[in-house]
Amino acid sequence: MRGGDVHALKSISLGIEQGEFVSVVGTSGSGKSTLLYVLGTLVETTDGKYELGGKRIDSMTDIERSEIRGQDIGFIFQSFHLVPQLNIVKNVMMSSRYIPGTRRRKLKKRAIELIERVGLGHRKGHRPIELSNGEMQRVAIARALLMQPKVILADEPTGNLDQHNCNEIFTLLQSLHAEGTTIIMVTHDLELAHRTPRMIRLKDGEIVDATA
Amino acid sequence: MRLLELIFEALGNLFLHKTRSMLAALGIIFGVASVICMLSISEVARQDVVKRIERLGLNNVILDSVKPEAVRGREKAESDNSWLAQYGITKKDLAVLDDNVAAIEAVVPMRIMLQGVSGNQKTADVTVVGTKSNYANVMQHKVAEGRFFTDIDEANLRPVCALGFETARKLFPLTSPLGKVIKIGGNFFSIIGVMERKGQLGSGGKFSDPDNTAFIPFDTTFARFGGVQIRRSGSVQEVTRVEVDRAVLQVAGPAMLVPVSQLATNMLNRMHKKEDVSVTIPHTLLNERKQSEKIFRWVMGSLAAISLLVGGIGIMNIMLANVAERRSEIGLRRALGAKRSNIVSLFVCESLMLCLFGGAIGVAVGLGLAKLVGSLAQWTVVYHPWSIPLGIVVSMIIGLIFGTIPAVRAANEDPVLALRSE
Repeated sequence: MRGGDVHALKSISLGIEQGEFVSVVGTSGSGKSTLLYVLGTLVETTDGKYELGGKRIDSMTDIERSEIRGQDIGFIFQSFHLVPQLNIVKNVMMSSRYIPGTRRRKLKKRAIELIERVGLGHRKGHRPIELSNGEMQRVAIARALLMQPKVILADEPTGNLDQHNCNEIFTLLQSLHAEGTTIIMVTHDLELAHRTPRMIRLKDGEIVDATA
Repeated sequence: MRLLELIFEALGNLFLHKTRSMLAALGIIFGVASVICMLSISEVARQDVVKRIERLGLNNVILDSVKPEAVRGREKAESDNSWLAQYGITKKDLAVLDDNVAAIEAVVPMRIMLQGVSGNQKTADVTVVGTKSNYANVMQHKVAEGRFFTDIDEANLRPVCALGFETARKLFPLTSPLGKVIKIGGNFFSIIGVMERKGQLGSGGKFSDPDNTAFIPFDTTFARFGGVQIRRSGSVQEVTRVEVDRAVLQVAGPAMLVPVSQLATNMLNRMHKKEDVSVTIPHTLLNERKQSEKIFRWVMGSLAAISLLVGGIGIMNIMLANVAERRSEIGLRRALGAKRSNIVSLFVCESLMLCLFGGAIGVAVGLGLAKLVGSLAQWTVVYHPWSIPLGIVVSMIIGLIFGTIPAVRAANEDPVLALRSE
């Protein structure tokens, strides 16, 4: 991987099976977020091979990678990235906006189910500004789940949360994993990473430790 | 992404920043308003000038007596003396033209004098026009009430007159002037007719407002007012002998206008030693007007284009600020599967909505302004038929052009950097 003259990732060889819950840890600048964005097809690789669900991602065009992101990948971000002018249901439904052939009524029903699932059924009409950080992250998780993606990529999902909310969100991710969802989580919280079935440690763009 | 959804989303985003959107739209509002206003005003002015020219008669050639340069020079040199200036068209000239140019169908001489008129215990300064009975027909000036004078009235030097619409209204606001007697420059005349409203004539000069006129038989003017006109101004006394101030030659058709005018000019030049007659063809004036209209439209169009350009740059600035502020949202949309084209569509749609909104208000403001200017200038405002669709289409084109640059910039944002920008 190149970012100007810097190789953000080097000689990474990594296979993740469907249904796994993998945490990626490392110091700042180790390349963990870059790895996540490469997996999320937001960063184009300059070399190497990347397959997702049997599809070669590295040879795809920007449009094809956008389609893959919309259909097969769900993102959870540290700063939630909710659209302030939209209410919770519309924020969750945003992930269907760029997928052709989606039925709105069916998706709305599923969005409401997911909002109830993350424990925010009573706040459906609220806007993000009216929610706590923990609640906003739960909305973001519901959004990531809407299109039933093959993999959930979480970039420091508990980074902006207090301990209580951190535990709640992690428990929610664990329950999703238990239902068969593939989750790759970048975190700097080693304690949390140790609670995942598989942990990958990065240093200077290379995998230095992988525990299962 | 569905179009309707896109439009609603764009409107929602604009509504979220109402003040900013309103300020951005201001440039377009004023730009479109000025286009609409200018179109309406130029249309009014165009129609007014065309009507004035047409009222002179498009099958007519107009001959005017003009003071020759030699007389003007003498005025300057002997400004404290009195003299007799004799120039212009004569009755003999018109008889020669009528007899020798077959294409001339009618000749209407006019002797024009400014006289004080009194009647019905009211007075007014009006233009008194001594003319022939064929004036009404050749100049298409219809009689509203009563009749115009006839050849018999003229032959018998009868003191009869027909009043122009405004003259009749001024002197007899409540009663019919028919049969009443008025005093014109010390002579009594019976009113036999009132003319319809004609409107201003495009030629200017001594006879440009036929509504503020009293028409009397041509030969009666000589019998009652003599052959000379005396004008006093301080110590200066100007005495002029002009037999015919204006003559209208009606020709067989538009094709004969230029040949007849050339022939008339040549004949008059031969008969007169000095250049004291000007020849005007209303039809040519109309064509010249069309040419100057083209230039006028280019000037107006350029001014409108500049104001719209300024409006467009305003829109672009606001949209660029919008893109910079919403980088994180752009990153999110890309992460959720938005293609570059989706991002372009979103921002272009916002820009289009902004310009459409500005354009619609601009059209309303422009029409209102045109009406205001019309009422202040006492014009009947004419709305250009294309003004509303033109205003809307132009504003949308501006939205498209000036919204595309910020939209493309938004689409080319690195999604990862955009996500981290918060």
